[in-house]
Amino acid sequence: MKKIHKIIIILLFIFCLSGCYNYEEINNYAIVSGISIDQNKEDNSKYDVGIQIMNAKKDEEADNSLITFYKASGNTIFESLEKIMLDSPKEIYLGHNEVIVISETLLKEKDPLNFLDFFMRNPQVEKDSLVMIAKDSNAYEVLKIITPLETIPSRNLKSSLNIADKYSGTLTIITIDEFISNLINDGVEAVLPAVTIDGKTSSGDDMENISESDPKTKLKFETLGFFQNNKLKDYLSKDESMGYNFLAGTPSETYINVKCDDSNYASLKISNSKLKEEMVIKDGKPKVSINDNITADLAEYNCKADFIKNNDIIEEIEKNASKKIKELMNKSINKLYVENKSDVLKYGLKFYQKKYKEMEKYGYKAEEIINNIDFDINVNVEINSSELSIKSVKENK
Amino acid sequence: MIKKSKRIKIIEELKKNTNNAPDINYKDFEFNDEAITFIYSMSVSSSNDINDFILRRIDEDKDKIKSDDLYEYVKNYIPNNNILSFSEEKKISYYVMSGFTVCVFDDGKLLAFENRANIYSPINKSENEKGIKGPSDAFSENYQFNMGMIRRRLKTEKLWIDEATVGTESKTKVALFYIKGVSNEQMVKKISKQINNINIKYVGNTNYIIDAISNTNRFIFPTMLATQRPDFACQMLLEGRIVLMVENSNEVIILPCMFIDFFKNPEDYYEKSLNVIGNRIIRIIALFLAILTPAVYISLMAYNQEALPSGLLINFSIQRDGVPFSTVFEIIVMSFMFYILRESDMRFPGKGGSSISIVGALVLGQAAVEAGIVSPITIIIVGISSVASLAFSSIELINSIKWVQLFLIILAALFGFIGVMFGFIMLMALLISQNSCGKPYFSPFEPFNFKAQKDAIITKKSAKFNPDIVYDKDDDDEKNS
Repeated sequence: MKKIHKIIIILLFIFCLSGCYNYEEINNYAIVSGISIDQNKEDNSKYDVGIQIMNAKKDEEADNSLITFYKASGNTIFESLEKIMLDSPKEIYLGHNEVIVISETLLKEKDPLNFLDFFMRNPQVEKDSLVMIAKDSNAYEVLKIITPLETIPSRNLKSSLNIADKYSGTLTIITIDEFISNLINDGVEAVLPAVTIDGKTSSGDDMENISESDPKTKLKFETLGFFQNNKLKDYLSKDESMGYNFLAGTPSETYINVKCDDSNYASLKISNSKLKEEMVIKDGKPKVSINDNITADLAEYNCKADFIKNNDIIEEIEKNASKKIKELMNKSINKLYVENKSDVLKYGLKFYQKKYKEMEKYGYKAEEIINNIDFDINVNVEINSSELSIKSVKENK
Repeated sequence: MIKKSKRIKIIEELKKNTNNAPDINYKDFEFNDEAITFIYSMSVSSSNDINDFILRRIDEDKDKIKSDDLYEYVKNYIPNNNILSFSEEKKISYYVMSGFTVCVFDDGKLLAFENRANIYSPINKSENEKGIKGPSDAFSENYQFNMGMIRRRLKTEKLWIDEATVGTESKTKVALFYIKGVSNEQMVKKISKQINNINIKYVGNTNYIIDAISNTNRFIFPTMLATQRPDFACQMLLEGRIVLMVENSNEVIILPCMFIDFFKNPEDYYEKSLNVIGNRIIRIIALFLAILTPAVYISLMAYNQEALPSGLLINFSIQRDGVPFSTVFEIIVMSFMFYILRESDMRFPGKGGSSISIVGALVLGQAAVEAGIVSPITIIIVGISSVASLAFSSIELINSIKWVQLFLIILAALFGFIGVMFGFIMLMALLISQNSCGKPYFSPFEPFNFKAQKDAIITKKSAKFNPDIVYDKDDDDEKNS
């Protein structure tokens, strides 16, 4: 009998731990897959929050869209969501949220820490939600665009950003908890991918948009927006964001074009990048030496050459590519650190972590150290393979 | 006169004790000044044998026999393979009931001749433990045939058999088989002692013995393995286990048995070891699926939605839309329906069973989903767990899985994943703390025995005769002390 007493006591313990209090059937939830945050046009202190719900509807009624949008405004995100809850017949469930789109104007005017608290405080919110800027448009509009390949907009946003991050080399994925920790920490500035609407906005949220083979409205991921003092400062150009990715050590499977004769180009596909950063404070001047060893494949070569006979050609391409990548990096450093003083690459934090004593000695603070920082960049590209051919097509002529 | 009265007294006593049973016959033969009586049962002995080899013989030789050596003559000249001389009068009824012909002499001497009739079902194919490969003969109700089936396979003189009689009314024979030198002697002694101490009236099947000698009946998992297949029994004997055979029962008990033994099949030893490893892993996965699927499904649907991939979540949510009952209710109702179907399918005689399955599949599956009473996923989940629970050859294990399933479903309904985890830990604790004839039930995993792993999940032909499972360090220690 004593055993049974013990078991009952343990059961009471787990009743205290969990209990039935959060028993909720799955079909009573409205599953939110995307959230948009805009600034209210009339009252600047209010936020317009839009949510996208993947509604639970049976497949037979395929003509109806699977998604529904709700929008409400309030002084806090929570208030807006509560207002939406009054409209919707089901309880809002944020555990599977995929994207958070924030409008450009809001980020330019306000520190995001003023309204992102809810996402960290609420235990239900998916902390892996991707954050993005709605560039040149309303965040709610971006959330509503339906495209043919993926009919759930937030899913579309998420997967296109994933693909863009993997292959273009100009983007980077930022989740909500990364974004917030970047905003909080000293010596780090936040960076976010930006999405734009390509085409007419009015037709984008129509189901007709997906019935066309060449939809009038598409979404485009192009650039990265960077922050300064927790406010959106500017966007990086294509080259600059590529440089940013090389500096961050995340070039993914991007490509580099190199001129191989007067008018023709060769393409290199980056396969691996080993980035080494060294923080030095020499005579009171902070310096970052960056050593990047990149391996790449020769993806296309349009000049005349036989690689086996002539090893110099490969070396030439490697040299040019290294030069090009260094150029990209310099461009991005120039834009971020010289023009805008935005420490997106976390050098302030890295100095603080590694050279704390020297920084104290010279009286530097993590957020100030980039003001007179020096860079020493060294890029070394190595071509691993020339894929299927060992010479150019032209060589056979 | 004194002599005569003794024979008649015995017969009268017997008649009184059996209330003059209609199937017991008394045949008198009178010689010059002596007489003998043959007592036999018409129902359990073979009348042909009695006629041809006893009665006719006596009748033909009546004149030759001198009255002085009547006893010697009957004992030596009647052709029979099993002639027993005994003196206890109480045993007469036992021998008669067992199919012997008992001869009573005037001076009270007793002789018994075996004339057992073959009233048993013949050697059949094993129905409960089907196999594709290997010998297909199975134990039948005939005690001697059963013994023969083991003897035939193990012709070694080291196969020792201890016999005991259990049951105050049924007087059923129980034989204990073991291989001398391989089995743990102390265990053999302990089990024979337990068997001798059994005090029940009737032994209907092996389960009577199992219940009488197992230490607790509260443990839901079976602690003794019953098999119908003599090849499997021999396999187990050689590993050092003890086989218990019960008269009139078509299965034998294997002792001690571990949890992992329920995942073993006789066939496992007739196939390539590498393929058998796959089969055993599948059986173990089936156990996990059977126990956990409904509980995990309930926790996912009602408590821990964040653990589902979003695609699946939307899918589930759409499927559950419009179903009026809670997930827990659905699962419990559908599981019960399955058990009722299974029960009626098993009990229904003959070919009626298949129509029940059709009704079950159509009415309870498809129609219920179309009517919107249950969600299709529930049907899938209950289907997975019930099919997985039938992947074992031991009916005892299948029945015990049912309780574990229900236990975990209730915990999941109340506490979600935490409850399932707690329930699983409790289940493991229960399994590990149990023992079978003093051997840890979860061996060779807990306590871990490296050598015995060869015949746990991994099978190796060479490891077949490895006595490690039964012989472990503790035994040696016990012996030494």
